[in-house]
Amino acid sequence: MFRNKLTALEHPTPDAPIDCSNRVQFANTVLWLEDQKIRHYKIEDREPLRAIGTPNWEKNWEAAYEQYKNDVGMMKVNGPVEELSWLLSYAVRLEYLDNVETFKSFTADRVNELNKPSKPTISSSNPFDNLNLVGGNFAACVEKLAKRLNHSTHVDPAITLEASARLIYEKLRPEALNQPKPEGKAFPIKESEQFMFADKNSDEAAKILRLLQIQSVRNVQTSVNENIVAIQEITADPKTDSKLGKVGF
Amino acid sequence: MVVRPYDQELKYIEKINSHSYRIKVGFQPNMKVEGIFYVNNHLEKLMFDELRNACRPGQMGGFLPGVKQIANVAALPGIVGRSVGLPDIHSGYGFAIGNMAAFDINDPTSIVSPGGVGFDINCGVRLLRTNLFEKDVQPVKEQIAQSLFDHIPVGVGSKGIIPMNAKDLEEALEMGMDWSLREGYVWAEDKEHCEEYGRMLNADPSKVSMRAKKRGLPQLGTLGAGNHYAEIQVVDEIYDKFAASKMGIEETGQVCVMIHSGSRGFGHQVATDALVQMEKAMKRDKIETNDRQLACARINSTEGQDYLKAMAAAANFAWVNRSSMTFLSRQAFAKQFKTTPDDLDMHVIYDVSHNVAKVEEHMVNGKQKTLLVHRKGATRAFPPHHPLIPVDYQLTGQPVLVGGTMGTCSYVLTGTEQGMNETFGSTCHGAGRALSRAKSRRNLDYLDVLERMKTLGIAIRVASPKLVMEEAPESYKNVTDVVDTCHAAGISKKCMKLRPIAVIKG
Amino acid sequence: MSLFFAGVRFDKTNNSLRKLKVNLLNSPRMEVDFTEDSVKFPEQKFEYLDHTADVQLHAWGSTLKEAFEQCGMAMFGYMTSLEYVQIKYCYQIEATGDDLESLLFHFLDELLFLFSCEPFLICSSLDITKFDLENFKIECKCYGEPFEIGKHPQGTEVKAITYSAMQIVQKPEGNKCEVFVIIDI
Repeated sequence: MFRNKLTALEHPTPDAPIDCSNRVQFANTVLWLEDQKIRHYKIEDREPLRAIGTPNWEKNWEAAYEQYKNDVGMMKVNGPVEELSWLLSYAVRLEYLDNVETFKSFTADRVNELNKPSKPTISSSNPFDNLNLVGGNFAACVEKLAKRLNHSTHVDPAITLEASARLIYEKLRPEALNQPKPEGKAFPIKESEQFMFADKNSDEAAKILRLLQIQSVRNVQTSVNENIVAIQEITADPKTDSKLGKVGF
Repeated sequence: MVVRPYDQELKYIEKINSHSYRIKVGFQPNMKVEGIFYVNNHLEKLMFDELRNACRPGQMGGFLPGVKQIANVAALPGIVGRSVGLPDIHSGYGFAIGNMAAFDINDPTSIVSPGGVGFDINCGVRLLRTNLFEKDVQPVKEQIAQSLFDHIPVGVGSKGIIPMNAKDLEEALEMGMDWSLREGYVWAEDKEHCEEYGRMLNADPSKVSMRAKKRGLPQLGTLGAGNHYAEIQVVDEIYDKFAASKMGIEETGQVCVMIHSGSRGFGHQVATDALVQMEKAMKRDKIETNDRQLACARINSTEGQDYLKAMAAAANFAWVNRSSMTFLSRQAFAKQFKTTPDDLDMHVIYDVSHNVAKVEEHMVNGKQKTLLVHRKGATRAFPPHHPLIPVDYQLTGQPVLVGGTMGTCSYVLTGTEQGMNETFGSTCHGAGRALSRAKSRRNLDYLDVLERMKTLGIAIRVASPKLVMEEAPESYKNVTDVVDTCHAAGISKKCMKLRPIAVIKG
Repeated sequence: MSLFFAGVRFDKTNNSLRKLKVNLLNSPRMEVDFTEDSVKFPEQKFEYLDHTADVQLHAWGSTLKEAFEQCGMAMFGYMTSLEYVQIKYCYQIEATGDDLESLLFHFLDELLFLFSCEPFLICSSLDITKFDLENFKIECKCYGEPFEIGKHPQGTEVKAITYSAMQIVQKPEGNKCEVFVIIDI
């Protein structure tokens, strides 16, 4: 209850519901509003409102509250909920009046707009996520790129694009271009004997998949090695001590 | 042992094709499966001579002939497929060296045998490449040999120079090459190119005796003696250009470093301790074997499990050991060529294990089964596309490093699908002894052997020169015969040949 | 080789009595006092026999005890040349077994262990002081010095003792005892 108003007033716990039938909670909220926001009385004059929770406090406090309602000019409302609601609205109005210039520009549309970009701030670093993958233009462009890179296409343009990206990463980025070309002859995979299937085409496909899998295992192994080397930086300290034994006699 | 005249024995051995023989059930008692061995014409003669000699009356020899040992292994409980003898087989303690056998883990009677792994647990070979060529190294061959010798402790009684205390050892036993990585002795890429990534995960140092740890501690990072060595080699021939290039070998003349070593006194003691334990387990579980040396225990017994955990710790020890020597070799090269190991591109091509038992998945009679595969003096050789080999070798198959003997060539092979089907993905490991040590000492003079190395243009540094004739090529089977047999039989494929230019030995 | 130990000289500084030092390792062994007179140098009664991959030790003596001592010496002799070994220390070891074979096995295993880690002792004389064939127990004094590269020529490493073709032969006639052991190298 009152979450929006409390939030606007920067109450420390705006999400916690205020139980207006609980007189202690009610009184504390009234006191917080007067102390922090409304500030109708001077600080020393707020004492009667402050006497919450002491033995037999209700009597004095209720009297002070009655006086306070009159002093702030609360109109006639029904029950504590409406009373608190009025006080909150009053406080909000006072806050607004303190800073009219700042708040004037916060129209409903503007607030909506401000709320929107708060989500995509954690935007993915993967540019694929922001691509509009539907529409003939996208498919046509992807096909064009694939043709340019000279690789086959898939019915799903997203997969084709991924293939292009991989090809560019593996072969065309600066690090890859600077790497010396592997020497020697490639494994004669096509001429090699039957691998899995009697059917020639299926067998060739199986061989290609096998090569791709070997490549990915190689990458895993390389990163394992890199991790070992990184740990060695910390742990390694190879020593020899020729006093321990005799060599070269 | 069944004693029959030689011609009677031969009835149980049948030629399958030009490169393999079948040992039929009945050759030895209780055989559960057949045996098979791979040979060519030269190796075949050695095999049958050995059997014929054993059939002579009044023989008091130590070990049974290789064929008998293959057959005795075929009689062990839980064995599946076949008991396989590889071309470099020669008789050894319990299992012959060059014998592999697989046991079904889900069969409660299946056994694990320390004799099927050997005393030098996870003895193996590691090959490093460099971007140097023979012309860069030839002029400084003697210096670089000396430099390696000055960096790597070799020979009996040598002690490691990498500071280690008991706590370091415990960690190393548990972590294997991850320990070497953590301490900075090796590179991240080295781990990638090791069987099991250089670490057996079931290792449990608490299952290892104090005695083994005490023997192991001073020996970590030492080469050892006997047939262990470090060699500088050059690529002599490339048979499979694509596979070679995957290993970073572009052309002949490129220089590599091969390290052959194992788990030292640590592994020897683990094996010795296990044999004592297993004798008791055999009596308790009433396991019958044809040969007392085939001490074994059920895989799921306490003794079996304890052995596997201790063996894994010893395997880890061996990887840390080879890794430490990798570090020392890189330092030696870097100093000699006044550059960094990085700039010399001294990457590990691969690291293979010769003496180990591993849990693997295999197809047996069309069904996938989980097996405990014993390889003693045999190398794992997995085919292309196998999930347990490094990604770089997925298309070529696992590299198999076959070390030669002093002064002879070494080979790199790759695993094949046929090997996976016929030998549970196993192939030869080296040359295999042909002459006894004592015979070598009698027949050869060490000065002649050293002189011949010199004429072959091989720099040699050896801790015990008076024993080099024990390791002379004459004492071994011809490694080229062994490798050609594996290639011809299809159980692995030749990739390249390496020729030594400098040898460092114990 | 009959003058096998002719070259052994005593290190002057170590000629005196040595302090008793109890070794705190788990193994039942300790460093013990000794004097020059207590060291025996018997003639060599062992040889190395042919074996494909490994080596077979063949040792003999007029008693089983002597054959055992000789067998231990044979093992050390394979690791270095014994004539280079000076006697500086004496360690006492114990070995037990369930039968004669396992007694020999454990005896050699203890000796190998003495060499393989602290004190890295290489022995040129062994003296079995207790040879109990009822409870299969041996106590042995081992004389030698720590193995030192450069001083002691490096032979071949012994990986392990094996039961393979182990034979212990006692011939009542002629008082000759023989043992055969294959060591894995």
